[in-house]
Amino acid sequence: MTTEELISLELFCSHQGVEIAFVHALHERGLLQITVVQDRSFVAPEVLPHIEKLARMHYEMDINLEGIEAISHLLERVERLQSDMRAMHERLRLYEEG
Amino acid sequence: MATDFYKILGLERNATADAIKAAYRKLARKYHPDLNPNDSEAKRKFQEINEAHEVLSDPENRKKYDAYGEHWKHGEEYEQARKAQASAGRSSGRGGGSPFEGGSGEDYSDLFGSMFGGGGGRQVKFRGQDYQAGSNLDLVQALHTHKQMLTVNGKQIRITVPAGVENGQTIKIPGHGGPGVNGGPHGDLYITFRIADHPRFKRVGNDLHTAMDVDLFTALLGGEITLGTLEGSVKLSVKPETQNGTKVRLKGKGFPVYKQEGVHGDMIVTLNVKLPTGLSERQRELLRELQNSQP
Repeated sequence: MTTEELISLELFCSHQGVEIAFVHALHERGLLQITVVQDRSFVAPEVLPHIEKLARMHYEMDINLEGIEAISHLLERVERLQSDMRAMHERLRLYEEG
Repeated sequence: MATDFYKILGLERNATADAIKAAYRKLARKYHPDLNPNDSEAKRKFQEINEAHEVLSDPENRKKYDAYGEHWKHGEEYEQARKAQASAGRSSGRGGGSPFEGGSGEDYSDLFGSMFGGGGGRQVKFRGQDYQAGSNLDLVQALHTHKQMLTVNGKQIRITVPAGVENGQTIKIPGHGGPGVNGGPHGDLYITFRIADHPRFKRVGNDLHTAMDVDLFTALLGGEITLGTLEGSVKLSVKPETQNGTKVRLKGKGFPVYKQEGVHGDMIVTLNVKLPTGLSERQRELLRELQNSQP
């Protein structure tokens, strides 16, 4: 992905009212990917909804970084389990219909 | 049933602004859709909490809510109607007292009833009806983001169908429902997609399942076969001594994941080993030789 396709972190944070330090802290905890080009930080456009979601947890729900980290891991598991369950239901439907 | 925003947030009516904020945050941590993926009950509950918070966290709105209860949005209409009725009461000799004074909730309900029921009150705006529509797709159409024209109540609507849409999934098109009453906003249009079965591919979540015949010799000795997918052909390596019914997973060759550009499920191919028929005498002889060479 070229730099033109990435979003400047500074620009995103000023638009969304999110502290840059918060996004860097998420990055340090492995919760999102930041690309650094010539000392400037960028994020991929597809990551923006994820940052917005984590920012909502922090600013709207008052959850600290440790909490966000724990919740993110649990949510990943919940989503994986839900996806497995959907697939099981689909498979069961095939047997029931067939 | 009337909605009690204080009750929704678990608060007393004299709660402070800080208490409202704390109660909202506590409930949001429990019911926020970000924390409850694909949970419609949590989503509904959060909408209630959010609405209660939006009203009670704004001092002006809270004041109106405390005065008019669930009809707080129509507080201004109420005030105007109250004045109009008071002056009508005076001119008809009913005396100077307003029938709405006294501050009890029951007194307001008659007035709001007349406002909404059209019994001489002001016209109130109502949101239009929501429309439901269906769209039939085949599996290949659901594979790509594409535009579609729908006719809903005689009107043509152009919609974008995102790749990876699921059978039975409903999307909302805001403002394309029935017209509002008295200049109120339009309702929304809900479109439910029905995706027809494909003769060769079964979709399970984002994975595609299919079956492929392999001749005995390729199954025994290994080789390459060409597999037709929904988007062209791919070459598939068959390992030597592949057993009948073996499943092969082709990473990323399945269905696109809804609203996750470039992400695909897998394709799972079941290999059916086919035995040759119409053998020549020479072939039989060779097979017997093979049989006899078995330890």
